[in-house]
Amino acid sequence: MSSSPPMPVDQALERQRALLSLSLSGQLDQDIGILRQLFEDGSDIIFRAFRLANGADLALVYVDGMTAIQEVDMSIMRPLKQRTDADTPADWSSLLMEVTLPSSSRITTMEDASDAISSGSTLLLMQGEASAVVFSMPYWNSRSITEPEAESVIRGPREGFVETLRLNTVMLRRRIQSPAFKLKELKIGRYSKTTCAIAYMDGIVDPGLVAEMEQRLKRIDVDMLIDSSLIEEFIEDDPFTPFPQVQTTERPDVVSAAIMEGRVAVLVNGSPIALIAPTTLFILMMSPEDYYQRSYVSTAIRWIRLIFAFIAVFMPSIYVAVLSYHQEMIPSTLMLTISKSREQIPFPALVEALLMEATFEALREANVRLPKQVGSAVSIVGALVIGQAAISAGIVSSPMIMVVAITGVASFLIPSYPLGLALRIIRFPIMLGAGILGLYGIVLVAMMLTIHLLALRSFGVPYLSPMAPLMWDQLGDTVIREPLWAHDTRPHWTGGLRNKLRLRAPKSKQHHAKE
Amino acid sequence: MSAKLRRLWAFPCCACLLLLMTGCWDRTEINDLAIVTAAGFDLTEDNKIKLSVQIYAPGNPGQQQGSMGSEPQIGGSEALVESAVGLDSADAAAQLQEHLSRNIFWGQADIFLIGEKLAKHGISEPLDFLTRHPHPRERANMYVIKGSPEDILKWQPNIERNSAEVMREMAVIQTGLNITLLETQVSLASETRTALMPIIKMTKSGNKASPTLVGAASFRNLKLSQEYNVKKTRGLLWLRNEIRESTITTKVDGSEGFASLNVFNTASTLIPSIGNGKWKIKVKLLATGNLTQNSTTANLSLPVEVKKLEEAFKKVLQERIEGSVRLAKKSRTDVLGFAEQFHRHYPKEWRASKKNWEEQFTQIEVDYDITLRIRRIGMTGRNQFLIEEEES
Repeated sequence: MSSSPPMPVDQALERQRALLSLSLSGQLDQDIGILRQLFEDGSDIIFRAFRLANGADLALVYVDGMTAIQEVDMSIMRPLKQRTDADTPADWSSLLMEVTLPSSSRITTMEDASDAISSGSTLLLMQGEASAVVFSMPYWNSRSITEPEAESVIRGPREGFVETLRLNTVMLRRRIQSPAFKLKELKIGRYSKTTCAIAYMDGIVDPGLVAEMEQRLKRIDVDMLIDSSLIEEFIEDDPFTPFPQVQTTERPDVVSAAIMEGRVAVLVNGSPIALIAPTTLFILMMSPEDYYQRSYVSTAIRWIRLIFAFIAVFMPSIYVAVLSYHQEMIPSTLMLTISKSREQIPFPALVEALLMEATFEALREANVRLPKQVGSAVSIVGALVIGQAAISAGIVSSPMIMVVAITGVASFLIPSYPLGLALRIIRFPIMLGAGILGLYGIVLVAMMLTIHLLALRSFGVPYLSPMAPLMWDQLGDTVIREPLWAHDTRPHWTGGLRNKLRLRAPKSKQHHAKE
Repeated sequence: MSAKLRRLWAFPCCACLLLLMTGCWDRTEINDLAIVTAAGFDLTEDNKIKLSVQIYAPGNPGQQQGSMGSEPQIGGSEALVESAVGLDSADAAAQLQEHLSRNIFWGQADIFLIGEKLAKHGISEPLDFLTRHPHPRERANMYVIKGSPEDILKWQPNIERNSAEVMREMAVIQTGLNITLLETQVSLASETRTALMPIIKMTKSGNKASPTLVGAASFRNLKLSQEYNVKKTRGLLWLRNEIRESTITTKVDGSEGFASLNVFNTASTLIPSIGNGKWKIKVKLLATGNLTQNSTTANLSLPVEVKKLEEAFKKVLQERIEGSVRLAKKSRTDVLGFAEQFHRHYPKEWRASKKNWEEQFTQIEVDYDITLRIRRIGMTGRNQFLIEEEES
């Protein structure tokens, strides 16, 4: 490639690199010229040159719409113009005395200057000074805080994360009003330079975990960080698995609870989804509502959820296996009913099951993607396809419809959407296994699945912990949910258990009486 | 695509090829099965086995489409009965398969019938077929049929789906014996090599003939040795501790009417003893029941009268059991489980007399220790109507 003549793209790259490598010269015209060249065709970049009473030439550079203009006028322009006179020396130290807004930094290179402008800061340059002052007052319209739609609860806080990082961190800081709550910021993305924040509790979290998270984040070298999902794919332990190894949530209460358990959260500017690591299968099977309802009720609901998760994964396969290999296992009366309804069906049970499950997935996907106005049309058509019409058409039998319907409902019981997707997908290989080898095939695939889950790690934490490896003291928050006062130790995900007591249960009444 | 990714895909691809390209799936669709709900074995004139099967015919579901929401018609699909003759059961089954467009599926057969003729000739033949074949359920019920099994299979009941279902329910409600294929196997393999099976006969009740339990048949050396009528069968059930609930009726001394007792709780144990070379069995029976009818003049509000009634019931019970024991002894077939008790408690003596057990069995003395309790005498103390009659 080196021998070929330079392409226009190469030339553009060359020019950008050359311009960025320059430092500020102190000559206002020259510096502005370079910035103009850098931001060539950038119609939203505003250059405002002005002269003060003492003859100092200054220029403000900012992005239109990303900077609070009123603030610039009130705190920079007005003090500079009104409170300086001919006697004021034209240097930074004396001029900045007048500006009521504190500057955030002083920069000297073109690269820093362009970064500051792009991030929404206001750059103040002056003739004769080889450094520029950055006023960080980014302003952008943000979506207002609304109830998280994907993770709604009946009882519990109603606020959800938005696309603005600062608002999200505020929501967390408001919940954890402690200096131990840390927010480590770093920028990811060659071009996008997206701000990310690692949130954790100092003194609770294993420092190694924070270091590991930071290191994994720093390794990410991409053009643009579009969403937190990109981070998830870059930092997970095993990329070749359908199972999510990082918990995702748009609820600040979930994030704050997680970091109080010694886990680490990553927030990304521009994404309302926070990542929490490490996570386990059981954490993904929990809903925040579990902690807001009474412990017995929550335990019962967890059981329902686990049972239906099992149904969602295995029910169509078991139906296929039993129907095509183990007919003697069906209770006689049911067998006769099934045989009656299957009489006119041209397809084998496996094809029937694959057809209907795939149709159901297609309908679900269509319903998610379609605009709300058309959504109801899909629902109506869907009810026809997975319903009586399909039976009348002689394509599927009615027991199959039942199986698909139960499976569909069951798969929506899984609180974590990525985990639900994973379980829906692995259902298909299991179905194939059932169609080829019957119950034996199901057992084989289930064994492979178990081995895979046992081998899976999330930031070094086994995916099935605390069940495998078994940790007795942490079982109180897995398939059961202990009363909160009884659940008095923090889980220890990585490293040793320090600072383990997280609450002191109130003393019982008898105890008080004795005292 | 990285090398790791390629390796990752190689495994499932190979697995799929291996599994899918063999072309030898042993999958069978339900549409390709002739589901046998009951089967009957009988002997033909020329000593061949006649196998009759009742097959569930699913019918056409399309016919039901018009009346959606209406309840499915019971008995709308006729039970199909096919039969074939062969040298043995397996041969007959193979012959039968030739008549059918679908594979015979034995996995759902709940009932196996044995014709009386075959039972007298010997049941080793069908039993071997049913136990050797992997499909038939061991929990299927066994019946001996007076007459042709085929007739019972063909019979179309009014309230159940097919005759197999009727016979299964008969066993479940336990008015007679509930003998499964497994139990037959086990009891035939035990010390005395005897078995007991309920007998069914088509009898006319009301305006239609229907299968009825008419007793039980005991087998010795795999051949039918003795038939017990319904009363005697119940005597056996008392001994075998298989009675769940029963009603006994008796006449009380010095009174006109009858009294009936609904026994809801029974427990019987057999206690063997050998003294002076005399083998004895003590039948210890504990029965508790509620009085369901009292047309006698006995005033049951008095405990003395209740005691008297209890004695009367006890006598009836003992007579019943004695009758059954007598019949068992007569046929030299130990269906009462005496051998097992002696084997357990007196293993040495048992081994010595094992050879001529049949002879020994007839000599065993049976004692009865029956305790019968009337728990409740019902809502009325004494029979008011009868009392008034007396006074007027």
